[in-house]
Amino acid sequence: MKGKNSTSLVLFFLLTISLVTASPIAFADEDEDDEKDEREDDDDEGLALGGGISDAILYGTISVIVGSVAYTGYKIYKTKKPKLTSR
Amino acid sequence: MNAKIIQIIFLLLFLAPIPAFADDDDSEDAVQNLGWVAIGAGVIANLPFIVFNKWRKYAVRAGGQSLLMARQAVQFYKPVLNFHIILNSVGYFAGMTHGLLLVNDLDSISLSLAITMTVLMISGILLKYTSSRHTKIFTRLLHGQFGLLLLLIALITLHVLIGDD
Repeated sequence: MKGKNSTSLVLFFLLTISLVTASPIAFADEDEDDEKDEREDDDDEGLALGGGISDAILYGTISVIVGSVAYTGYKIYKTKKPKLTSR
Repeated sequence: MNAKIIQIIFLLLFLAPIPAFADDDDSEDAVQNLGWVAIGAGVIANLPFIVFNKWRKYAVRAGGQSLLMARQAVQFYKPVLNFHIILNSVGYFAGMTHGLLLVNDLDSISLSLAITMTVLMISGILLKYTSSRHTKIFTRLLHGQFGLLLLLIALITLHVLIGDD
């Protein structure tokens, strides 16, 4: 049970991280194909705050941190919970 | 107490010359190099510490001659831990200064990186200085989360890639 939980958590982290890293790459390709001149103008802007991708990265990070804190709390709670004896 | 305040002021004095030169073109490189200092300090602080702890755990589990070596290595734990704390603090403050001086170019990756670094730093400080048993257990587990380490590495990589463009 413990191993299953940690496996699913690792998978969740990997999924979140891959989503966070994949989105900028996917959007970067789209820019390259569509408007090259516009991209040159936008070079200085980077991933400014308030955009769609920026929000995704920020929310992804916050989700991972909140998830880690919650998982740690859950782990401690599970360890301290008294086991019920079955008759 | 006074000695600690003097130590903190002394450390801050090292960072004082940086904003004074922040307007020049050359100094922009210096501010960027501060980011590399943060990355370098982080790698040097964490890699030996993680390797040492993993080796110790492995040696204890293996038993025999390895167990004896692990017991002898206990005396090196404190210096390695202090090295880890000091270099990580240097890296954290270098990174934060780098971020504050380049705050005009703030993007979501940099902000995410700053948040993650702060979470890890606070959990480390609590782990070191708290006397409460429950807080110690909680911060020990949180500080050693593999997911947070992966997140930090991913964000640093993205930050370097986007910063270079």
